[in-house]
Amino acid sequence: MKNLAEEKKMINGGDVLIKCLLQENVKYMFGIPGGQFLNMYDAIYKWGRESGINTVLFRHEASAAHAADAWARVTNTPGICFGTVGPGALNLMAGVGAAWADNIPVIAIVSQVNSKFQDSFTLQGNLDQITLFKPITKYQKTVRRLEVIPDAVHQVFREATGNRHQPVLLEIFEDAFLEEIEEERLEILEVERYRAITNPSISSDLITKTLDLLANAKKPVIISGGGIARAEAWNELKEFAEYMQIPVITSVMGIGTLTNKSKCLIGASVAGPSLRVAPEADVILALGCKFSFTLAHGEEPFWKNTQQLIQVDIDSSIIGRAKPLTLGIVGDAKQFLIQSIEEVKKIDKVERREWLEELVIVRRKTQEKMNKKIMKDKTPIIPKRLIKEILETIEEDGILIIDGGDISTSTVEQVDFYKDRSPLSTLVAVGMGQLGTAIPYGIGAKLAKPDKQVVAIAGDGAFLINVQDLETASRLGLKDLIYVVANNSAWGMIKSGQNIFMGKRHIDVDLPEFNYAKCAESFGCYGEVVTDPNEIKPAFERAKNSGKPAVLDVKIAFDTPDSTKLMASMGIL
Amino acid sequence: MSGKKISGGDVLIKCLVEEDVKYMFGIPGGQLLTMYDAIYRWGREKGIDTVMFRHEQAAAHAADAWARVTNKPGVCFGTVGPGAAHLVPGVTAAWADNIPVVSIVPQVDIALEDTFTLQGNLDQVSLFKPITKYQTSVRELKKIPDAVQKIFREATGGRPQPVLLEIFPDALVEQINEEEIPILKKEQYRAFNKPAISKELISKSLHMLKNAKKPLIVSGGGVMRAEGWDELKEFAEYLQIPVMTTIMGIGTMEFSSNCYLGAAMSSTIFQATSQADMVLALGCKFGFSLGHGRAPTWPKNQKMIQVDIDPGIIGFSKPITLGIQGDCKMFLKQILEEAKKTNNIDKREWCDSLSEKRKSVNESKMRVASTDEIPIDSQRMIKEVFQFMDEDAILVIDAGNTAFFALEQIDFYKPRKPLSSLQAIGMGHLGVSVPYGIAAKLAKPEKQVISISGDGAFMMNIQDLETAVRLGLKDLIYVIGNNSAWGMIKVGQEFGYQKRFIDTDFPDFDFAKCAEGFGCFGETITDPNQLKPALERARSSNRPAVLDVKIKYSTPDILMLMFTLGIYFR
Repeated sequence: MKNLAEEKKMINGGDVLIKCLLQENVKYMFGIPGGQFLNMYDAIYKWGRESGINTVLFRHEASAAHAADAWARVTNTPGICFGTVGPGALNLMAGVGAAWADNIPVIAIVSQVNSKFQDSFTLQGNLDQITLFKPITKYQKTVRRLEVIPDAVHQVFREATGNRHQPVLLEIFEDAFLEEIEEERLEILEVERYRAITNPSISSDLITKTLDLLANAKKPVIISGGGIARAEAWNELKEFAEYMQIPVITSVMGIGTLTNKSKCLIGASVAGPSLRVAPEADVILALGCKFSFTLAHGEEPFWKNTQQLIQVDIDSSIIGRAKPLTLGIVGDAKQFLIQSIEEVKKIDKVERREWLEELVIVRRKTQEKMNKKIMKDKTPIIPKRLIKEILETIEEDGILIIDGGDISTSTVEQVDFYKDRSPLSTLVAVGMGQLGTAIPYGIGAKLAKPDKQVVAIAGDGAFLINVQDLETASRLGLKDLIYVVANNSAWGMIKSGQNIFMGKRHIDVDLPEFNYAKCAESFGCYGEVVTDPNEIKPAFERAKNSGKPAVLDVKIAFDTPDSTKLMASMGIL
Repeated sequence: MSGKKISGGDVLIKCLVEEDVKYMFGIPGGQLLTMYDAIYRWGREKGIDTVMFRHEQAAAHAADAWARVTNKPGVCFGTVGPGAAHLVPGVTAAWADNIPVVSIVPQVDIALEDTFTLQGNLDQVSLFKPITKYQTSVRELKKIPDAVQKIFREATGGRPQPVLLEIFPDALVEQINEEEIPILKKEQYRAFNKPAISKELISKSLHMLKNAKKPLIVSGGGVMRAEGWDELKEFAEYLQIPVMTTIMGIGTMEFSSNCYLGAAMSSTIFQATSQADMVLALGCKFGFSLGHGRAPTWPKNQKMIQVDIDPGIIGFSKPITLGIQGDCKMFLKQILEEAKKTNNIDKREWCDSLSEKRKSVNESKMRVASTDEIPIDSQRMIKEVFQFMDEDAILVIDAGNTAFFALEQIDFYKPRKPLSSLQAIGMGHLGVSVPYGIAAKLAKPEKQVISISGDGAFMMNIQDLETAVRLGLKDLIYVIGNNSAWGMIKVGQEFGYQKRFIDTDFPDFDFAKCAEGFGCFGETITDPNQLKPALERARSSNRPAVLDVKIKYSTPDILMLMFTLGIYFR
């Protein structure tokens, strides 16, 4: 009897967790070790790596959370981060908050102290992590026993990926990790058996209604938001828009959902040419977009309340929230487009639409005007010149990260002017306006797509916020990962605010000169200072060929972008 | 005739000036512009200023350190959304150690509430609930004074704790005639007297202590916050009662007193706690560093008098004989007065034998700590730093193995003044050294500030070395015990997992070079005999200094003790 019992293979809670994550094809878990996680780590050590799952060690958990966020943005599958009980969990929060604001499925796994020390003043004890994460996650689950781990993992993945994507929290007590069970007694279900992989479609009469509204429109416009990126509906969007000759503007989260090779693409966010589209359109088809501040909250005077709006969203709580509706459609944006194309092909395609032709000219003129302004070889370098040089150089399928205040709004203004941006390849923590994502997003993106070039444009203030993880980038031996620091020694957007509202009484917005290149070298990166605009491209080449993560410290002039001024006028600053 | 118009930003700063706030630690944000402008236009003249950090987490840690050193609330702020979220970990370290940190965060415009505006939709009040004692949210200028008064009342009253003040930009931008908004004096809105203890409870306590054969005093953070150190010494020595401190209580009892036993865990302390028949616990919550108040460290049949300002702590961890709610300093004053009506005790065998034991344990430890080994032994590094340090220096101890090594020898060489040993012990928070050092230096510019940290911990807020440099801080020395590892977790993998090390080792990193990149003095030390000269050079460098000390990976004795007591890992 005894011998028989000994032959049964025992596994612990750490093993069970990793087995469940493998079912979800998790490749990397981003985090920092802690005492309560030892069994989880040991599972990775003993058998996890062979099965294709590994941890990636960061130097601050906020970076680990940002990396998980980037992973999810690029791969469209959940990113996993973890931190130990107390400080580890807390450090994750800022990163998870950025994903929450942009509807990105990040799964945060945190440990809790042993339940024998619950509610005692034990090390890192007494902390109500569930409540802490409530405002920034869709769902929170706590586990005290090994047997509940599989179900808990199913729930967090179901919630993270179902409906509108959002971060979720899984808290595991040390007890559950330490417990053991006979391996054969614990069944691990396949993904298909515990969550739906299909998406809801749209009833045919709603499709007909939509097409009627669009057919009768003189000046229709499509807004393509993050919902299109998450639903991977870019091909359908292009086909539909071109068939109907409807101009498209993307939200910031939707950048790349329409190729700039299509003449239907007018711009991203309500800047530049979109400023004309928004108030003039008579029928708006909003696809997976929540009308955030980058779309002027969907409000007057940028939009008109008299406009007809068809809003398609996977989440009913977004529909009609920002702007009055004509037709609200709950459903998957890709399904909607597939069905609409099918239906619209029954009628003749629109060969030419005057409204679109006009907008194409507006877009071209905006580009020309901007290019003329920034061709001058001024030093310090004009921010828009720096952005142009980088966006002209970045590879077509490269991943672009935009981090910062003014430099970020400025980059978005030009983002689709030069090369095409592929879908799922432009990363901005736009909802939270989070500073400091560049370094960890770069790492997460590079791990997700090792064969692609990854370029980040960051402000100097933003760049320093997670500078510690340059060490991680070096340690992982990442290449063709280029960080461009747009360095004007200032918290630019706030300085702009003090210029506009406070009579240039500058306080705490100027930073001393700082050599980011030298700093980067001490972290094992390639570093170079660039002061001449004509040296940007050669420096970029050297960075790319350095065989190391690279930091270009580009000294730029202080300049307030139009979008920042626009935001100031909206009362957002 | 209309009077002078002031903004909500002006009102906020006026209220903070009333609380003698000297520094506000934070990073600007769009919604805070009128607050900043008040500082710019008139605040600095009145003695209040902002200190800009490079990460709000560091700003929160700085406010925490300010409060630990000055015993007054530290103030930090971050803008709506990421700024607020970044403050959270720093505030929690203060929360776990009962430190009064005031966090100020703006919200988005009321007109944009519950929209997907920039940094909008975030329920910051809920976010801070688990880690603050009180949260208030203000939407109108007129409510600002009352809100500030409430948060200072809550932060400092009873058991000190962090608090949150959220202000909508509407309130900050609004204007009012200055005379319409009088600012009360702080004596008009919060109590400065501490609750005393009834005579009967004092005489009961004294009676119980006098009848005890083996009494023991535990002096915790409550004695520190109440500034009851002089009374403690006098009382303990009068009755020859041995005193141990918690980690939060380090410095509340002079090391040179024959009644002093040590701080937190050691073999002497274990003997005292397991053998004492009567424990007087003063402002201490029996955290993990006191073995949670549980057996075997503390036998169940032990009698205990527990004094605490917060009834929520009394009897929380360990059965009491007598629970007394009140201020520790008041208690000590009153019991001292009462004790002095009786004869003092000249000599107590129990006290002397423990004191002897401490001395001999310390001596053998000091011998071990003299090793010339290369790579440098952690204990040797600690010894050199402690011997070098000024007597009244402020010492910052970052978390992890290095903290345990430092604690082992904390009271061996030189005195530690009260309010001068800083450690985020409750949260075991890594990464406090850089920001704690900055704020301690700002609070006590004339004092030397020395921080000891591990390499993993030091990296976590490294960005704010720039702040230390920008502020031109001197005689601020960061010592990194660099073994290229997450030491404490590595210990767990060594003993619990047959050395299956995973994610606990780092490649070599040159912190000295990195520090120089930030404008600090930096030096790498590999020879133990070079520690003292390097510390001298760091001091005279006139810059914030970082010493990268290459140490050997090893396990602190205290950690092994915690291991065997089941406090750490199973």
